[in-house]
Amino acid sequence: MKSTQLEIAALAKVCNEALILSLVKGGPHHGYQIALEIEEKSGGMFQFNHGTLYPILHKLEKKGFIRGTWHHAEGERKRKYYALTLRGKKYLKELNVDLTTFFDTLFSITGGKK
Amino acid sequence: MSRFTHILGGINKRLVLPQPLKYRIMKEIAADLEDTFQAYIGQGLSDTETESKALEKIAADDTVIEQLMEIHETPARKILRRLSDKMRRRIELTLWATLIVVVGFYITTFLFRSENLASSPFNWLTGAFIVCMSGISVWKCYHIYIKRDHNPQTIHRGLSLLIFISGLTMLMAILGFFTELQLSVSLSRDGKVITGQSVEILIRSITLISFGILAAVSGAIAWLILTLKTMDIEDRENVFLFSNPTHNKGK
Repeated sequence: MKSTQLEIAALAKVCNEALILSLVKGGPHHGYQIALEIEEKSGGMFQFNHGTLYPILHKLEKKGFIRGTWHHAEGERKRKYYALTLRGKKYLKELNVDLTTFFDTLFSITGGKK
Repeated sequence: MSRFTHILGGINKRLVLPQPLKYRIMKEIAADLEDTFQAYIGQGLSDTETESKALEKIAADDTVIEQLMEIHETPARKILRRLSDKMRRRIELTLWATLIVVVGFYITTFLFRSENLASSPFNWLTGAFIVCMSGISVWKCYHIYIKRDHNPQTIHRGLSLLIFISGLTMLMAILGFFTELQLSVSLSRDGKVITGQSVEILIRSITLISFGILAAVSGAIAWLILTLKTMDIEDRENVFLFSNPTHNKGK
């Protein structure tokens, strides 16, 4: 898979994807958990409305970066858990490289984080 | 589920996707909505506040619905969506008419293969019913399985007609068989036909009844498959519209 040049216009999309992929890397999560954990881990900086989350999750699933499976635990309602696939791991690596390059370049100009 | 019936019902109406895909997406949204609701309740908010906050958090607006529809569109639907309504309708009708002509042609060829078969009006009527049955079955299959138009208001259309024509085909074949048999017997009794002609009439009537029954059974099977699929689609739609779905059995 080729690493793509990150465009400013696609930054939000790429950040959302990277956040979701890195979260499910730690184990299967369902939609609500993903939104909640991202919010908690970022101290409220990244907030996901579920509505925004579904298209990203479904797109990632369609591309084979995550796999959704339904689980029905005793006494609980049926939930769809998303887990990272091998393809998703590679994609996350590429996203991290792209994001690092992007922010390094940005900070080299703005004099931000060294 | 009933607590969010109005919210889920609204999303369900706008989300135009085939079943069971739509059901799965709705189930996912419903589960998250319930979790969000419980989390807010846990924070000590009132029911009304909780409901409006949960709804705000779900935020399944038209853009989100549109995005979901775009992601899950099948290749066939993608192609169909690119065409204008008028053009699509024209192509559908042309293909459908072509199919009717082809089936009609094969039935006519079959009947004309033997002059004996073509001479019975019952064979022609049975043939016409078979053409109608094929037309309706193909039209319904196209809408349900290829175009995947699972609108609960239109999904039943044509199914009653299909089973009615299947029954009519069976009736016509049986009626034709006995009429031909009666004709053969009466002509033989009057001594107007020789044995060979009598046998020909018998072959004609047997062909008619076998062909008619086979076609009627095929039509009934097509009706059964399509009806079961339709019921399944309706059940999945109803889950998010009514709190007590009538046919839902633990999907």
